[in-house]
Amino acid sequence: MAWLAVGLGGCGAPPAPTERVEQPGAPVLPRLNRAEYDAIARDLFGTTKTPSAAFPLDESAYGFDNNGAALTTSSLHVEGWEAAAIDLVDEMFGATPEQTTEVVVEVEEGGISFFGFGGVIGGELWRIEQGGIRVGFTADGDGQYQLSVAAMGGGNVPARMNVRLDDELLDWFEVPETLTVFELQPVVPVGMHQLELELANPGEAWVAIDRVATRGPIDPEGSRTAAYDRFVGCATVDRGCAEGAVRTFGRVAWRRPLTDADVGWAMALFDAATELGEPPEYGLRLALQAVLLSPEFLFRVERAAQGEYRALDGYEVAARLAAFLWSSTPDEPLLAAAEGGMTEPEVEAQVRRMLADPRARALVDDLAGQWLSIRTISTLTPDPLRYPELDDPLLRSMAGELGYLAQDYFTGRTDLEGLLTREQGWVDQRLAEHYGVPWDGDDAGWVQTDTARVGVLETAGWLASQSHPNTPSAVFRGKWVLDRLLCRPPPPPPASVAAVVEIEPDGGSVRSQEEGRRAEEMCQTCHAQIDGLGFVFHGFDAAGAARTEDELGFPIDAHGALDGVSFDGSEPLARWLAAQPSVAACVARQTASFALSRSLTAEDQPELDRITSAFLEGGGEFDALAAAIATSSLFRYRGHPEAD
Amino acid sequence: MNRRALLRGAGAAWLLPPLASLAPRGARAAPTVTPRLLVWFVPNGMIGEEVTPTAGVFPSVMSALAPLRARVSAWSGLENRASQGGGSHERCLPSLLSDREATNFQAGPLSAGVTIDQLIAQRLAGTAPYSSLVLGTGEPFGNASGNLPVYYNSLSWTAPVAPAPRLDDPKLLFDRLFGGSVDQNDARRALRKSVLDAVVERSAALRPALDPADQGKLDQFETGVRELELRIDRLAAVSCDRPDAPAPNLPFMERVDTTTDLLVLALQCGYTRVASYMLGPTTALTTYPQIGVTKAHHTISHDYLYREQDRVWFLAIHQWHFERWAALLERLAAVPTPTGDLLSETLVALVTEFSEASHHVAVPVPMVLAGGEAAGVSQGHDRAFPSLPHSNLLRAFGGYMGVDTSAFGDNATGTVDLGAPA
Repeated sequence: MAWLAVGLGGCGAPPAPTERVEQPGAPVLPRLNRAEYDAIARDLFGTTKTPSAAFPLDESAYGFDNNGAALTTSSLHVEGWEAAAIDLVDEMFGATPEQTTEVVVEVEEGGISFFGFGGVIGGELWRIEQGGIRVGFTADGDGQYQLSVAAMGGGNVPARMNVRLDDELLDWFEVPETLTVFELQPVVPVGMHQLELELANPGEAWVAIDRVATRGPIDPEGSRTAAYDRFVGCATVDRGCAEGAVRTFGRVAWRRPLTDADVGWAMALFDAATELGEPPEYGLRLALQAVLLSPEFLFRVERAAQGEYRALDGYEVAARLAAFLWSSTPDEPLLAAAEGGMTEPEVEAQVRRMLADPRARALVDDLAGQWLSIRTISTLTPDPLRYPELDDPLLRSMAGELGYLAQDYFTGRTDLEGLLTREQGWVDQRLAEHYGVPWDGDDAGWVQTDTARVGVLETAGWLASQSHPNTPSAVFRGKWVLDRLLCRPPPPPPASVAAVVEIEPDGGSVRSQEEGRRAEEMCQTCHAQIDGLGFVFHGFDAAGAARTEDELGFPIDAHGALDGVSFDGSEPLARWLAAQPSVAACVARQTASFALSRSLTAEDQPELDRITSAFLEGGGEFDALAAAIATSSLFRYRGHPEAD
Repeated sequence: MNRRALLRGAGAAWLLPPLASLAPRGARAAPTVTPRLLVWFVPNGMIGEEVTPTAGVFPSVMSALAPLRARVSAWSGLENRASQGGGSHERCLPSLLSDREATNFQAGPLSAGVTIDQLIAQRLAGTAPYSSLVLGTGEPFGNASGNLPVYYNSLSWTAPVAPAPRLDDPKLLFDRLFGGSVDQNDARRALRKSVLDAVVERSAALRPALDPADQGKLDQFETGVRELELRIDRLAAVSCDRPDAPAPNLPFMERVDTTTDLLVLALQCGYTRVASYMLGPTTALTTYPQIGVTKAHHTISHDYLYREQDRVWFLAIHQWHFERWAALLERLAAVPTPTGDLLSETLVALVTEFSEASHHVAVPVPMVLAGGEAAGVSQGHDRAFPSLPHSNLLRAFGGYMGVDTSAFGDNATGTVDLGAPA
């Protein structure tokens, strides 16, 4: 067999110190990832939409998909963000694009009929000396429609214009000498209609029409969302109202108060739109879209440290906190605290408030979802012949249990030790059947019960997530524990070996055959350690079901060892891991990496040690860990002290 | 009518290559060839000898290509020398289209190379609504430490620190190409663009206050905004009938077919001139239940050397990929253009990262090319080299697209002539 000679590079040792990082002590400008965009859309707009479904995939590095260095931006992102911004703002204004049609007729481009005397002047306007023009439109549904007409007039007396819908006079206007937009909001039944604009005082005046627009069905008051009341408020939008809305909305979207220049930047778009004859409401919608497309919204911007070591300001700390604990953006109390500068006690108080908030559920989906491989479960494709019971509903239930266990840890119902060793699992009916435990809950519910297993490492979900489609994997399981609980990731296998050891029907137990193969040559350097851990889970198959025999009918041997300590089965391993300070240190490290959106380096180690101590002193409770991270210099400063 | 028939029906509505209409007026008299490039990546390698024709006859896994024999050439003896002798997935994938060694797998910043497709896309930016389409199918690989997931998941790179984000769902691709309403109203379109202008202005004003690596992220952002601005104009010039939307949440194998259909439409309608498509990340654990393969692809790709059943499965997966690829070529060949057919304007490259997956051998790597004849490519002649840097061929992709790539490829010694049979 042609083994290629490739160095193993210190198996089991932590990764070699990096030669350089891009920005010591700071993340590389993190853009919103998919989870964050959706959470912010929910928190700002109260929407149930998930705009990120239309965005490209996020890359992950160092275990998490919020790592700034790995999150890149392309025009596909910008296109998705633009569509999302338009959609979210429309929804706030009560215009849902799927129901609303907008038709704009530029008179010089046709689409009108006329009667009397008139014609195009200046290439853009339809000038009426007598009679008027008619524009047909189709109402897609019953409801209120916004009709707008941009016109100007002149003559010996003020020009007057009659507006008729299907021959019925809706209203009349006096038309000034500057281009002005007139709006009407009649209730219109579904079907074809005709809008007529007629000069009411021919012979003494004229009117010139620039464009006619119809939009609807709308319900301008009723379907405006609560976000409209929060950010805009006024019944009719004018310039003053728009300016206030930009300021109010921008502060939440950009995670800091806007300067006058910031507001002026957005209002320039409002002005450009109204100068073109758009209604003020449209101008405001554009300005708010621009706020949502600006880098200050899409990225978590922090001023350069430029080689210095500087304290973040209150708003920057608040933005980091909201991203860490909620995958979102600061709420009103957090912004208020940010204004006060975010002293250390304030940070700690905010952490505890925020952990008690329902938005902290993001920790389950994003932090635990990746750390505990919960997200992996939905991507599994088990071999339907070997594991017919392992269908999508069961996989969802498995992920559900891990989510509940993580939730208990994040909300303080259990600590790190409990996460790893608690004897109570969470089951729904399907999972109860899978575990073979009695079920007395209702059909859709979850109950906490004794599943005769301990902690996350004996959940069916975790065991299945670390399996091949057709067989459990001691290698995956052992490697996961080394990487995710001990922060000692083994290097990728050298080039190369069979991924799954060939199991002969008459070659002894599965374990003995696997070990026999990996005892060869260089493999055992790493595999003695990986498999020594992984085989303690040998009593669980790829569906996470307990078993007493392997695939060939041999009794299970679940002995294993790590660092000279022996274990018989996964329960003693779990109990041992739960008592190791090195596991707490690794959990602290991974949590900090998630919280900081970056990988950690040797320079971060002293502060990381302090965080670990605080975590241990806090009894392994997550709130102690979160508070220690959030109050640390890693979190509240940018750069490194040595940089000075 | 089934989904695919609908997608194909839309293709028939195509009239003129929209890009041709952008050519100078004087050039319109003669039909204009618009060269396009499509890179199609099969993960986890292929067995080199099983994808190398003998005396012009395709081996059995390539039999679906037989009717297209005159339009296909298999290349052997190409070497991905930047893979550092092979050795691992993270060395072999990022270098496959860049000929640049990737580093910092477990720690440090991302460091790979700009890939040939993205280099060409950057040089041709603005000539089509999308400078490139970067697509994928298959679960991204996340269960690895450090930077490894990024290297496993990324075929195309726009900069050494920037993998090109990819779309993984044909429904999203459909929405991009056909879902948005083109704003036909000049005033509204102008306002939409003024928002984008304002955003670029904002980014530029913000930049000096940020650290250098952060400024690089804003560069990506601004480039993306500008490309979208150009696209708004270009899209107004594209007229393609809207096919029916693909169903959401299709299983892997059907997603490949649907994505392929949309890719053909994207090339046909002039939405883009450059596309790359990953049929899974390197190390993909995809199973292929419809053809009886219930073990994970990556696992099979290692075990095939040791176990006959795995070899049978591995070859079945090869064959399935060649069938999909042949279907793609046939779809392109069925689209008439003023100069022949769409395949004759599209150079299609099937690439994979290993010629022997079990030991991660990337020296040599197999490649199969098809089409492009209208722009001077000679097909139907297999090419075998004793030892040639694969970037010599990648450079020729640039030549084909009219882009100077003479500085591309760390190990390149020149370029190959796609027009001359060996």
